[in-house]
Amino acid sequence: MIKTGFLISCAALCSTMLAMGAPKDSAPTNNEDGTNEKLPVVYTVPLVGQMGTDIHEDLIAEIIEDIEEVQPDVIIFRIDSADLGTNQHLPQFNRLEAGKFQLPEYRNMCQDLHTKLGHIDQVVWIEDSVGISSLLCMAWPKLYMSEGARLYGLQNLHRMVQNWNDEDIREKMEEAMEGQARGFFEMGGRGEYARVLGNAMIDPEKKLSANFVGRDVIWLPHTEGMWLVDNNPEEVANWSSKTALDTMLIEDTVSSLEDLVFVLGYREYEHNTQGDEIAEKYTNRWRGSYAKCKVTYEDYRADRGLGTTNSQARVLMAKRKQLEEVLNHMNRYSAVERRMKDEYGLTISQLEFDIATYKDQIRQAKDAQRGGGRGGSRGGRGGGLGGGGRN
Amino acid sequence: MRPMTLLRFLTIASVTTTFIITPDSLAESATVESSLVEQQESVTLRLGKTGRNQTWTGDIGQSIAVSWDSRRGRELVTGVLKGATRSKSKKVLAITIQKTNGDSETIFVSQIIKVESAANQTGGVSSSTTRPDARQGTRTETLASPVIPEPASSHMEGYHTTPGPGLEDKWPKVFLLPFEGTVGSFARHNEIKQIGEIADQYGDGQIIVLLVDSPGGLVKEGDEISATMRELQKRHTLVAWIRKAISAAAFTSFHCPQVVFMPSGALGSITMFGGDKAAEGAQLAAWVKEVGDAAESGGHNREMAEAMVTNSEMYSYDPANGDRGVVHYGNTQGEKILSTAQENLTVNATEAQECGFSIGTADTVDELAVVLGLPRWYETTDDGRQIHKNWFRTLDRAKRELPDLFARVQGQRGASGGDPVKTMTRQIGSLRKLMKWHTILGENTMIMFSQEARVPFVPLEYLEVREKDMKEQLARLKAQQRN
Repeated sequence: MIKTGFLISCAALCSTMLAMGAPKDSAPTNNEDGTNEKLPVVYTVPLVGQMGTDIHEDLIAEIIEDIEEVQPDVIIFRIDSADLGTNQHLPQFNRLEAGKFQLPEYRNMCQDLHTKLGHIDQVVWIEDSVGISSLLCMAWPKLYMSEGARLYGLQNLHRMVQNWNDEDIREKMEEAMEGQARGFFEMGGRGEYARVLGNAMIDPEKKLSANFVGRDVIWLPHTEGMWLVDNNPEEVANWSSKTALDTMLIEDTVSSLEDLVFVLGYREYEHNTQGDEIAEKYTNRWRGSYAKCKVTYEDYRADRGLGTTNSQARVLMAKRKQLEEVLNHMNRYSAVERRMKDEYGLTISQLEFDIATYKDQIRQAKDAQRGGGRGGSRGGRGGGLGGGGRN
Repeated sequence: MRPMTLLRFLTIASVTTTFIITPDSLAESATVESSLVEQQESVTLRLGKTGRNQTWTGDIGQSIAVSWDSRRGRELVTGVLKGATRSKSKKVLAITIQKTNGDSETIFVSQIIKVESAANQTGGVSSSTTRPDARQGTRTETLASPVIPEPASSHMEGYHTTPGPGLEDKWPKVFLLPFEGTVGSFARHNEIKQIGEIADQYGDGQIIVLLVDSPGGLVKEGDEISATMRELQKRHTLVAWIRKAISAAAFTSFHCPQVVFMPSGALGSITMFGGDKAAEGAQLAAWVKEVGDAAESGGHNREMAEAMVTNSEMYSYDPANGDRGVVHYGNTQGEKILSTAQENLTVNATEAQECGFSIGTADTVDELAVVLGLPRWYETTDDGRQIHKNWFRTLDRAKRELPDLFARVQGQRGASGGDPVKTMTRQIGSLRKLMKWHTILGENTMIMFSQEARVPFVPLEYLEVREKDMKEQLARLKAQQRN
């Protein structure tokens, strides 16, 4: 079994070496048994929080870069991202903190992890996954779940496209969405059953049952299999750690990182926590930036922070400055951009347009001041373009 | 578009094409004493930042190919170097080229990216400086390069440009064009045509890979893509490498005889609709047939393609078994049912390969090389990627400029305090710039892109009428001021 004391000393050694600027891949270490064999390095990547902001392609890019340097033996993606809490007595859904539907970004993220780090063993450890994060889970073949963990919530993909009244269009949109989602199942090596399994987890109307041939599972798109998973036309196939294990969707259930590493076949290991540190820093940075961005934008909307000047030009300049600050935050973190869009409907191009409008108004106000208030600032403007209609 | 309008559109396009001296450049040239030299003499061009500070030396009368950065993006002009405009200090400021069709074009040296001479191309001087560059980026025009170019010696992303030492003549040339974004605005037939023309310069039988990552788009653009692809099918091997090919992008991909999926790839859902109503009746029947025909033109099964168009079309198949190939069904009798009468169809990598639609699955270019049977991955030139990049850059600029121009034309911005004549003159100037964007982007792109740029789509003919009105208004304002 792993000795915690030993782990702490490993971590301490790692941080000391980092502080000294030593190479990140550690030198042979003395093991418990006194041999000089290098311990297997386990690199954990926390995919924790909101999909699309906390779990973001920029973070993954940073982590890939780090892993390429560290060259660990195993990468463990620890997924803890749930749109719904487990406490039924509390409000269950916070729209702003729910996972974002950035399918192409998630796809590219998974593809990068597979192709750039394909030579390193990768497993997913699901601590909890409700919502779009479940798609991410399915992009890897080896899944482990914490006892009591959930693997839920892909019906949101289906709900997204239900606003079409025309049946043909609705079906087109559904299938386009499900087809792209099934791509994650394909990435996870579930190609043969991507359609059956994927559709059952996304589309409430689809059924799922399973037959077993030895250790192989044959997933079936109906309820005739020996193991019924989903026959409810109102619900999709959701998994608890127990049902996932019973149907061999996952490899095993685990209680901790030590437990998982042991199941993976390592009695001793070196835990590289750089991924955890990078993720923590990233989350703190973007959330800090988001908080500032919100305050500035709220000030802007409420005409706060404009000073006591009577000069129209100065007021306009102050407003412009506030928007520029908001824009800076949104440009720096696309997570901030996504949240501002969700919360206020604000986009970068809209902001750029508004800033340019302020610049123009400032110019006009200054002209008017210089000209001693001659004429209106928009005098003589002609008619607009009107609507042109669309084909 | 009505024929008259089309004619007008083409006229404007050709004027824009030949009018390469920008107003800014004219102002610059007016400050120096210049003379056009047309006799036999040596010309040394010291390219600026745009041309990476390179120097080119040649002679008047020499055949050259000049790639230059116009306001519309990168363009290529080929022909005979006819003259050079010099400053007092004899520095060449601009060159004039007589094109093969007899027209002349004058290009400022500061805008030149690369110059290549016919003598150099045949003489085998370093290919990085002699390769003609056909990356126009923003428009389609038949290239009239007088020489067959050498393959590039380097690639912008570092890929090999040859299949390996000694293998150059045994393998076809390979070109990769990203086909990304909405069809009609970001992904268009123009860029496919351009990469085709570049491949044509090496003769028939080259490989063109479309890296498809698109959610679909405009049917009208799909028709033009179809025509372009069917032409290219006759001469080259077309490969669709599928990341995401939904709707019009799936339709495009069907024209490629070789389809390779990425593991995450998805292709299908080709239902045509306008507003919130799907095509029906004769229109639907025609579209089902067109999609089926496109699939057959690429050597694919039409039942599968047609099942992607509407719910009522079905598709299933029996996988290959021993000597027996895949059996396709336009109903649900096959062993593997992919689409029932209640479903549309999008296929993924594994089933696409099992039903014989794709020839394999590849996540990286190295894997793609294996699937295509190439000795290694190589891209003869990076023109495809450059064309794509340039077009995206153009659209990026359009996205920033169009809302501003609309606001200016509508008088919401750019007003001159109290001077209506000045204000109206500015509005007309903005309107003209708007019309120029129309010409650069083309109607299909304007239709699709206006949403992206958050501006209304206004047809070019309406803008022309508006310009006339505004000019009259300006004349009246001037008269009022005089009185």
